[in-house]
Amino acid sequence: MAVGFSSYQIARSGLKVSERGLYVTGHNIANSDTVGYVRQQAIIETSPYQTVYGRNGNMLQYGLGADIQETRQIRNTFLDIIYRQENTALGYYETRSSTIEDVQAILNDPMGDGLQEIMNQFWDAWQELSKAPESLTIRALVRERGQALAHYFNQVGTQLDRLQNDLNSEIVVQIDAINRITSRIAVLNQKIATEEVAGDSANDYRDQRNLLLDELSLICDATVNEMQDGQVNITLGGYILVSKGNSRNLYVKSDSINGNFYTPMLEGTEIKVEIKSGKLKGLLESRGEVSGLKGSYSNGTPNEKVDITFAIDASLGSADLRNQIASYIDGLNKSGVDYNIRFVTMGTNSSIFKNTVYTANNIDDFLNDADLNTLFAATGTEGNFNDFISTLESLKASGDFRSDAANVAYVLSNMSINGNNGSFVTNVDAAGYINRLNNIGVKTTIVTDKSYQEQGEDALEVGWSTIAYGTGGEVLKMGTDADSFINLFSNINSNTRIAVNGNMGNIPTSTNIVSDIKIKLNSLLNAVIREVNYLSSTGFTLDGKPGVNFFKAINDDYPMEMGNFTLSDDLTGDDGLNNIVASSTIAVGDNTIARQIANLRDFDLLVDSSGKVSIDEYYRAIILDIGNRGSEAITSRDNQKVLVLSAEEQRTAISGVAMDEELSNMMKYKFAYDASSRVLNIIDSMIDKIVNSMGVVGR
Amino acid sequence: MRITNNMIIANMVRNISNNQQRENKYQTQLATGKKISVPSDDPVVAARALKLRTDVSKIEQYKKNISDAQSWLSATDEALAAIGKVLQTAREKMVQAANGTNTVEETKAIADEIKQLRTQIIHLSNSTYSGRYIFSGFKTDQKVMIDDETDPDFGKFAISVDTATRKEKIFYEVGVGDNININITGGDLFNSQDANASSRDLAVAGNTASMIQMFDDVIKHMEAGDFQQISASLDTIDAEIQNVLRVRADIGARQNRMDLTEDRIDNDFVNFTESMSLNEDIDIAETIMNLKNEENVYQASLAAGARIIQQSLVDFLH
Repeated sequence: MAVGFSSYQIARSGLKVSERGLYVTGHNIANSDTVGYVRQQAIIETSPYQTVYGRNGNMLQYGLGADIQETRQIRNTFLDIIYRQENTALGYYETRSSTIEDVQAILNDPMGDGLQEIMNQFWDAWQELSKAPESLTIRALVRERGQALAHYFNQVGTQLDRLQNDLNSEIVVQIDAINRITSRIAVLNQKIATEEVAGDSANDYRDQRNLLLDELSLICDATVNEMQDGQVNITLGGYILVSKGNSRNLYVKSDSINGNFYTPMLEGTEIKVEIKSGKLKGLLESRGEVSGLKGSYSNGTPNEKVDITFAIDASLGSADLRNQIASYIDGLNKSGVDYNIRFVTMGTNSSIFKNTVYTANNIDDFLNDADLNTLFAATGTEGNFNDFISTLESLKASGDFRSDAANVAYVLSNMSINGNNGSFVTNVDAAGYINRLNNIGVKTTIVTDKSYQEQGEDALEVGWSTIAYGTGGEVLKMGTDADSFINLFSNINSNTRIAVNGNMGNIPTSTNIVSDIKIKLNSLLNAVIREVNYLSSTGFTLDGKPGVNFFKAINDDYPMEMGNFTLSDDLTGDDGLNNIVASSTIAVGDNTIARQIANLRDFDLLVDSSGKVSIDEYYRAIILDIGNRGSEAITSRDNQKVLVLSAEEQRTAISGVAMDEELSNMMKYKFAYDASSRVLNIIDSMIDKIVNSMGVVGR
Repeated sequence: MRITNNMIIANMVRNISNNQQRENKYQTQLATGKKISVPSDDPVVAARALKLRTDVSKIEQYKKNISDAQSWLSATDEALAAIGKVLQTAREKMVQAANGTNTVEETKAIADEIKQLRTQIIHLSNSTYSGRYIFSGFKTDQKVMIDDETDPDFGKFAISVDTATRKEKIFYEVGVGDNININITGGDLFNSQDANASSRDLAVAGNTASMIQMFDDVIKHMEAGDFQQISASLDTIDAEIQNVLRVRADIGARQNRMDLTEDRIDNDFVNFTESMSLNEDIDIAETIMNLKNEENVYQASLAAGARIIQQSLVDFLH
């Protein structure tokens, strides 16, 4: 092909692509620090060639220069997915670990003077009082320490409540963030679709959208799908948030009935959106996925409920028994548990006394009931355990037992399991009884004559102890005289209180943080307060008056818990110091009660996952648990950070702007530009030669 | 792998921040002297620290209880010593009076001395320790005997102190579940020779203690100049002296037990404090070494960063 004007075009295309290359390089350099920017590359291709026929029939192809095919983003979508996945988990663990840091700061144990120190001082004050029960100075100390205990626990409660509320408001902030992101993504979706329909790629819009998706991935576990047309669909918990140019908001619902905690919901519906990971999930769990109502058991209020069933073999009837049941009930009232109590007669016609459930409100009717004598004086009804279990089962089936209450039964029988009726209780029978009782969750404590504890009427027959231990109950020895009845019922009383404490303190494991801590601290506190009050109210004051409670609830409608207890009015009044109970008799030097209260810390009052534990052990388990959760969250957070960083690093390795590379490219394009212009020059001078110098030879 | 300038910078910043965090950790450890500051630093150390701190605090309380018990016991011991001495003196006087050569006037004179001794015993029965009557059982605010000489019931038990059912024994806790009875009840000390078995060893309000009764009888015999009876009373006073000695031996044994418990608890205190320190305190030398090491790493990373970041191709293009 001869030199023609088309050669200009070739040189010009060289200039054009180099120039375009320089533009892209300049854009890259300019955006080298732009967040979310993905480097671009000018993809150059040859222009369509021209085919000409040569002289001898050969076909020759001539290139016509170069052209820009596209400005391509250098991005690896797979790494984006990895990054976002890890980022979601990072958001989750970051939130958890920071909440736990807050909780640890509130508890301030073990290195600061936290609750343990306050409790130590409280018990020590009682120790001091046990040495000088009549000393007003030491009584003042006990009151001071009691006040400190109330103050400190209440303060911890307030701080935990505040933390919980802050987390709750943070949830709203995050939901707003999700809404902002999804609506912007919807807008970008549209822009990208419009731009790309022409074939070009909307690189910078895509960068913005990717950045938003990264941001979203930190907050929640949204699923992102890119469609053929370049738009993305976003779903969260199975519900579509963004589809093409449309976005759907989330809103938070705060149910006034369920308290004021927020639940994420899908706009325009009553559908709760299930969040599985990310910052939002972390916040929900940190606050506790609980209803939040004050007084709700899921959010910390201790569960003091107990359902008690007494099965009395009527042939036992005695005035001692009746008196002791009255004192047992008095003890229940003093310990402040929320009880339901039923009295069932043993025997083939097992029936519930008056078919009535007694509570603290109507228990006096029971005690004053003239018919009560029939319960205790009746003779001839022989114990039949099978019928008794059926009675319990029907109570359970009809929903008469409260589902969240501790459920205990006390069987008083001076016969073998089947009431000495000649039938023989085998191991299999006993296992059947135990299974039935465990199915309805009744801890059965048996009070029986020693001879029936290990065996029945027949030496080979199963004894009561099998039943008691199989259901988690105890075996207590039947008394005959007044003193042994007193002992028996003080044992039954502590058995009931431990059942309540156990039901209250043994909290199923959950991933909730603040609500969990509240439940545990409240259980601990409630047990402490109830035991102190119980002991206090069984003794005498310094003035020889019957004992009074040490602590009281600020609001009687709720159980005693953090934020809802203080010293009782009797203690804060004028003769308050005298009303601290140290004595079990009216003698002022009697230190029995003070010593018993001081010893409370060493009793196995509570039950947690490891079984019966003392107050100190229970608290230690709380600290150990929060420490474990904290260190797990922190380790996971750090691991996630590494994973996110490595994904990010791989991503920038591919997509980031490398200055040296860009500068080299710049030189490359510059040289190519120079060379193309040189080509243009040459062609120009050739044309010049032809146009201006041809035909002037010899001129 | 492609390395970009931003990667280098981000890496450097991250590493320097990691270095700082580690340095900060050791600095905090040095500043507080503790291995951990919050439970999540090391949950096991935290739980153990909580336990050991509680144990140490309990031991401190038990130490206080022991020393209070010791004080009470030695106050009791002193009172018992004084009572013993009075009884000895009384016995000497009685021996002197039992001598048949004494005239009635002389024994009467001795009776006056014995009366004084009796008064002294009555006052000693109301010995106090920090304002509390030590022989009054739980009724530490009340005198065990009426010691108002103008009262016609002078010398009789003012209160009843019940010991038979072990009800008025004051216990101090000197270890977990380890209680020691620190008081001697009036009846046990003063009424051991009561003729009536049902009230023996008990103080019954309005009754006269056997020890005082013995004095009353002796005074009566002396005033009557009845040598035979005075002589016969020597057996009674011997029995009373024996009883005081028995009680003193008991107190002595309890004091011994307290001394032993104190030794043990002092050891416990040292051991627990030591465990506590081992559990939660840092090894200062090691921590300083670690800190220095981190400082070096930190400086090295700063220097390396400064060198890498300085230059790029830009510096060489013209």
